[in-house]
Amino acid sequence: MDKVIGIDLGTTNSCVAVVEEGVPVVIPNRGGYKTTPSIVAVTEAGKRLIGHIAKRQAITNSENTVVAAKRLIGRKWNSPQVATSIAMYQYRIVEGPHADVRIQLREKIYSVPEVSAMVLQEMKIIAEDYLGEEVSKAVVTCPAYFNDNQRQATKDAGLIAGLDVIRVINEPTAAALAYGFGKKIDRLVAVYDLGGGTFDISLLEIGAEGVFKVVSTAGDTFLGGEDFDARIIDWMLTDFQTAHNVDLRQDRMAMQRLKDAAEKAKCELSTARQTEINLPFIISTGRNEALHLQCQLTREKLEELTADLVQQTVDICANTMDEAGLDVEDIEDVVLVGGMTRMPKVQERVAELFKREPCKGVHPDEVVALGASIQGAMLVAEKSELMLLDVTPHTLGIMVVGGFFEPLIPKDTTVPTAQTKTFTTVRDNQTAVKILVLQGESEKAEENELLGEFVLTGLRRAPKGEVEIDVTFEINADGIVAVSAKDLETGQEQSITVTASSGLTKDEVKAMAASSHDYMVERRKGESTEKNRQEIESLISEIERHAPQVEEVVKGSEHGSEAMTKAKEVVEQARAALRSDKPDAELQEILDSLRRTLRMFRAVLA
Amino acid sequence: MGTDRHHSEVPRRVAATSLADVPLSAEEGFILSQIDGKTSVDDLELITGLGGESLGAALERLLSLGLIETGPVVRPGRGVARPAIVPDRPPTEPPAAGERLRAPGGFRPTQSSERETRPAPASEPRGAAKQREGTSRSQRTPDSRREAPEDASGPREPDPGKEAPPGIDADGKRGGEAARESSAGPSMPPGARVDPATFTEEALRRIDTFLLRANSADFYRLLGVGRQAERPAIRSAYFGLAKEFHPDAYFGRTLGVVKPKLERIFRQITRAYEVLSRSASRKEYDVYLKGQAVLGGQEEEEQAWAEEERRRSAEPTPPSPEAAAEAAVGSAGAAAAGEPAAQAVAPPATGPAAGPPLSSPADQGIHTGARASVPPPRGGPSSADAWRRERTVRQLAAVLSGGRRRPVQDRRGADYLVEAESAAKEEEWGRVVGLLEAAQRLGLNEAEATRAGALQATAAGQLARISAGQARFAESTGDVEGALRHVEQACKFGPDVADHWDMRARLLLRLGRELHQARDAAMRAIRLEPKVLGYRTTMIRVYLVAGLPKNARREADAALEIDSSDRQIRALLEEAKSALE
Ligand SMILES: Nc1ncnc2c1ncn2[C@@H]1O[C@H](COP(=O)(O)OP(=O)(O)O)[C@@H](O)[C@H]1O
Ligand SMILES: [Mg+2]
Repeated sequence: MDKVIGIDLGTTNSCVAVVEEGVPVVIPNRGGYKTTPSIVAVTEAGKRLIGHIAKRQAITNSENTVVAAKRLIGRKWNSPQVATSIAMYQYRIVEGPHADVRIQLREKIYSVPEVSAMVLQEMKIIAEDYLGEEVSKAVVTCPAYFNDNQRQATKDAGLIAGLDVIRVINEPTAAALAYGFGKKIDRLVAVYDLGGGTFDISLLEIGAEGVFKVVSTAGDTFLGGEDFDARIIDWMLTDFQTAHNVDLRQDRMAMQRLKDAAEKAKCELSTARQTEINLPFIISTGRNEALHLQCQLTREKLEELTADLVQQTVDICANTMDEAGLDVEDIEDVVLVGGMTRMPKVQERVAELFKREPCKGVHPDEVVALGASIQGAMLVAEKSELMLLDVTPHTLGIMVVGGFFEPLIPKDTTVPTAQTKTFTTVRDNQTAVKILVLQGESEKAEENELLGEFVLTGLRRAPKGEVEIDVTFEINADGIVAVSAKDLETGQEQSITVTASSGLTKDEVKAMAASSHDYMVERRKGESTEKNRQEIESLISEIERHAPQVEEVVKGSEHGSEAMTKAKEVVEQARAALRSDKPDAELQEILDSLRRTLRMFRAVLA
Repeated sequence: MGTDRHHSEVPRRVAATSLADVPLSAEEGFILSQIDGKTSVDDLELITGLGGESLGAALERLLSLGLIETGPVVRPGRGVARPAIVPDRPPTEPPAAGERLRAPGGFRPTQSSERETRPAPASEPRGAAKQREGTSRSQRTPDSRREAPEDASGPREPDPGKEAPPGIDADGKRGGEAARESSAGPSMPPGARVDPATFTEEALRRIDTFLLRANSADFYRLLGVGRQAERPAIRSAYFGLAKEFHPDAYFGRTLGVVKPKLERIFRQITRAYEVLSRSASRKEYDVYLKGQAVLGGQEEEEQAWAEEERRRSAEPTPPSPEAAAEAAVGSAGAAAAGEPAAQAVAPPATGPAAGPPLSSPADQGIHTGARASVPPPRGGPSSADAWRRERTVRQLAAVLSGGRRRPVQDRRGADYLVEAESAAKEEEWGRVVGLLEAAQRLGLNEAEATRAGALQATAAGQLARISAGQARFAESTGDVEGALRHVEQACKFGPDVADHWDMRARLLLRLGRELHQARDAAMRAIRLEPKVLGYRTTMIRVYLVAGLPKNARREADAALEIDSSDRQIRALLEEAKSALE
């Protein structure tokens, strides 16, 4: 059976896991790290970089390095979040053809799903290298607050990366799955996830039967580690300005270095009580002399700078419990997820709020990917031991008269679900109604996300208010929304399956998938060529190492010297091949003859 | 039209089963005789006069004996001649009886109701979608989006001459085809088009059993827990069922017609769990159940259940079967308290809406506003409200069946008509209505239908008259609740008698609740008899109590146009004016 991998496609870091022999394991990347920065860059030479390497070169290439693409995925060009991102990041964010968002890297313009696809593809490769087989199916996680358009965009990213995303599940849900996996416990748990860019809190019920039911989710899409970094940066900037009267904000390179230093300091302060920030030659002044930034940051100072951020997360938690009608006492365990939960102050405040020490058994960086892999294995299993009962993250409804939003399926409803509500016409002889399908929490329709629309026509002519129309919303287990409207009198009915839009058309996604596939083939080919060349080099050097000894042994025989000449020819040929750009197949031939030669040498010496 | 709206599972006889030596109770035999592959569970409830629960239990037994099977959701086609007993549904009436009888389904009055009607998900195999299409004349097409007219401006500028656009034509045509197919539909085994490897026989039977339970059993029985069960037990029961019936249990496999069944079961068990796992909603639900048992004459059943449970769980505190009166009082209190604040205020005055709340003109060409001024409170369903509606139905059901439940094999519509006619001679009007309903469902020829129609009108008139009389009597004894119950019947059977509506409005006013309903009722009375000042007076009072002095003043002004000398109205006008200041 096909292996299904689980991918935590994070704002800051991504992680991939798979279930092997019933045990979920995280797969390390080539560098041995279990998480890979969700960063994509294109170098001056046009080379695509992903992960740690992309992160490291960001200082010198910030304009062509995409970080936090997840903040843009599935968003409309005119949304406030996009405006914030444009102000925050140095890469070029441009408007796409469907009022969607695109990113320019060097000369080429990419859609956001394409950029995310590059990260997914990297994760796919990591998994394939580890498993030694091709991988085509994945469960990908997304934040609980993602709307259907963002989820669709995530699926599209998978498609572009050559992955069939069999399910998109919520990150906190995945975390809970990994937490409860194999434990056979009945417990109500809170999952507190503070990552690089976002904060998420979810409450889940876990049953010994192997059922995981989401009770409630909430969060803040712009509250995470980056905000902590920003506080440190501001502090450094102010200090520097006071000391030297120079505003570093104008210098992109300096800012990027500050950002790196701030994050590093923040992480260090999770274990150390104090750290030194040392950025020599941060900027050169007009008088041709360089200034250095040097300062000490203590844990107390950091906590003071970020106290309100931590408080915000605590408030959201309290709110969520309130809304779900639960008390702190009802929560039986707390699971910490996300890199930021390593900060001692965060742990302390969470423990304070929930009146208990958070669970120590899970790894905050890996737990989401592990959960995703568990869900993947569980879906394709013949008879699964586990069942995940997820909820709708946002309220679904339609627009009614006055531009108001009329909810049909409230937030946090367990899916699959269906609801019907009856509406009436608002004018005399009204013969048609337009049904706008919306998702969101605002009373005003326009402030919610539009998922689709359709028109019900052929209504009976009657005074206003007399024609009744039943509107039915249905969400199936895959999260697909279907909406139908029906005139109860005439039986006239219209419906749509709401295909959430990632901002890309089907054809675009197809074309992008094809080009990404080509890139992959190229890259794999390049990799194997590189491998062959390296092997040729090492064979040559080994042959040459043995050559004098062999020559000594075969000196006497005519047959031997002939063989010697032959061997020298082979090596020469191989050298020539290395200098030129020979195709893979020819390299393979050369490799074969080199191996033969070496075998012969060894036989002679034996 | 109300009666046309309900739809539910339709059980069918399994062909070629011999009934000769099947051990059936009289009741089960009777039910079996009524199963014709066309009559839904809801309708059966109405015809047999059996409560949802005992019907459900009987159907489960028939199912387990292999005598019947249930198919996909089938809705009676609109083309079927089926004169409604109730010519017009009053605006404040709950939906048709069949619908109300689905007790669990109607439990959350402040939330939108869940129905079986649902569009086929895109991923569903074509066969399943088709089969469902075949169940109703009016149908959507899976790809109707593409067929929808480009021009959405229709609503903004209604064009009187405009024909239905092509999209709908196509739709209609497809619906026609579907209707033809539907005659073949019911004979198709329920498992058709389902990959046999996916489900065992046993699994399919369990699905059908739970589908029935989802439709008829109470939440405790649905989850298979006792009424005293603790939260963990409820959770465990729910989780066990969820694992079994969540469609993900069959991820990636072809489910065909079973998929909507699974979804239906899953939704209902989830709902049951959500109600029973929160102490507040569970308490309300318990009150509701008690009320149901009392009115449905099911005290014994209730007690038997409690007994059984006591034996099973050896609970130290067995449930004490409470007195009927106490339950009624408790729920009445809950009803008053549980009324959502949003509904205590009448919506902005326009014309009365036929059922849902009112709406005001559209601005964007986008419409349809069923909008309370405040969104319904989250998770705070007024089960008492459902309970009250249920009660009315229960009473009706009791009247209809005349307390007699006779197993009758293979009766035809005409037999019921004859029986209805003899019941009419004895002036048992409630029975008459029920028997006629049954007769019409089973089919009558033209002459018989005319006879039935005439008798029905008489019976409805009589029932309305009797109910109104009972209401007046109850009111005179101070039993306002009881009076309201009777007057609701009167309104239902005699919707064109203004007096009934006015009385209803006055009673609601006395109880000081559901003012929007009071307002609708008062308005209805005025519409029927615009010249009667007494009805106007009621209307003005409603507005005043609802805190809408502006409307009250407008209404008073209108009334004074009819008779400027009416003192009472003048006094009310003053009251409105002072309230405005
Ligand atoms: N030891 C640490 N102490 C404090 N913060 C940390 C630590 N390690 C990582 N972080 C922060 O966690 C964030 C990344 O968390 P992660 O869960 O990987 O993010 P995401 O889920 O958004 O991809 C970054 O802001 C990073 O600086
Ligand atoms: Mg994360």
